[in-house]
Formats: sequence, C-alpha cells, structure tokens
Amino acid sequence: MRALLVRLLGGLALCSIALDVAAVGVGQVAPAFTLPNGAGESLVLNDLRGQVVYVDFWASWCGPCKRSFPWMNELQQKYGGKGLVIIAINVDKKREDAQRFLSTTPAQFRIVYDVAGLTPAAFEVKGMPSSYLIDAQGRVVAAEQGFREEQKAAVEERIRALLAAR
Amino acid sequence: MVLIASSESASRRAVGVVGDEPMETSMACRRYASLGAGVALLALLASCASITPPQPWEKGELAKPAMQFDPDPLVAKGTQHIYQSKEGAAGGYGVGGGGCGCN
Repeated sequence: MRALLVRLLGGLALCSIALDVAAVGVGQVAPAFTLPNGAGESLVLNDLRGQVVYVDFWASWCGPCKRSFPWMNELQQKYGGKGLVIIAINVDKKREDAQRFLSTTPAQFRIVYDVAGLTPAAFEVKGMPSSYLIDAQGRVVAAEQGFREEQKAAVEERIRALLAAR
Repeated sequence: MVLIASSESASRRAVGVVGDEPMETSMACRRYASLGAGVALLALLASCASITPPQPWEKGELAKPAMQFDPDPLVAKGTQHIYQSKEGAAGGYGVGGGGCGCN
C-alpha cells in the first residue's frame, strides 16, 4: 500500500516537471530590447510604455508568417490610432531573405531586425512564429506560439480590452 | 599512431639501441603515448555532449526544400504513411511544423 502511494507521488512529481511553461511567463515584465529597423534607426521597447505592444517574431522561412502579416496589417490599421503598436522582429540570418519576404508580403507595421537572436532567447521563444501581447505597463499578457486562424478573434478581443483599459 | 612512432624513434635516438634498457624505455613511451591518445579521444567524445540542438529561431537552414528527404511533399506524405501503417514508425523526417521549422 505504501509502495503504491510512493509510486503514485513519484508519478505526479514527474508530471509536474513535464508541464510546459510556454515562453516568458504571462504577467512578467517583457524583456527590454533595442533593435535597428531597416532605416538605421533604433527601436527601444521601453519608449513604448503606455501603449499596447504586439511583438511578433518572424522569419522569411516561416510559412504561417505569410498569413499572419495581412492580419497584422489589418490590426495596425484598425487600432494604430488607439494606441496599438505592432513590432515584428525578424530573426533571419540574411537581410536579403527578409527583404524578399517583405517585397511579396508587405507590412504596414514596424519591422526590426535581430540577427544575433538575443531577443528571441530573452523572450524564451519555443517555436516560430511567436507573438507576445504587452500591455501599457510593459507586462506580457498573452504569449502565442504559431499562427492559427482560430486565435485571431481572441487576440483581437484582448487587444481591444487592453486599449480600453490603458 | 604518429605519436607512438615519433616517441619511439625519439627514445631510440636519444639512448641508442644497446641491450634491454632502450627497449623498456621505448615501451614505456609507447604506453604513455597510447594513454595520451586515449585520453584525447575521450575528451573529444565528451565534448560532443555539449553540442546543443538549434533554437527555434535558428532553423532557417533546416526549412530549406533541399533539407527534406523527398522533394515532393505528396510522395513524402505517402511514404511516411506507409512506414507508419506497416512499421508503426513515426517522426524523424526533418523539421517539425511542415518543414517551416515552426516547432
């Protein structure tokens, strides 16, 4: 009986270790970053305190990114005036790959480049693409891995709520 | 083996081939040399443990079409299905997420 109990507890303990904590924890302050855009200017995340920021990690080789860009264009258009800033961080090793992607899939939001890959490491990105919704106080409120059609409505709902609350 | 040969010839040259002594010295040298080679090999193998898999944002190279086992995605799917149904085998076909390295 006791042996069974010990085995049960051991199994439960193992289960808790196996639970995946997705990326940077929700509720934590988003890691600060300063990244260059295509025009040589630097974008500092902390400068955007007070606005709702949607950070998306993308790459030219990432299929779902092709579908997420038009949706993010829509979001930026709809809510840009209300305080939403979308930042898409490119992690391609070669700038030309990113530019080729952008020539076929244009973006109306800010694109910054991180070749070294320090920013995705700081955000503990677990898969590509990854997106993080940061509220006006700089805290991560949602972390999504991948891009699926089903999550679009929910994310838009959260953005609207955050914009109303700031 | 180059290590052993050089140490052997060096000891022979240094002492001169006279009687039993140079033989013993060269055997000791050979032993130390082979030991050194063994340690070096072990160290090399151990360093292989520190090789880390690529991070999700570094999988650009793996997402290239040339990195797939089969260039035709339909044929690849069919082959995978056959392996799965006949052998119960799954996975190992390359990068997850349909080849975009999205996992």
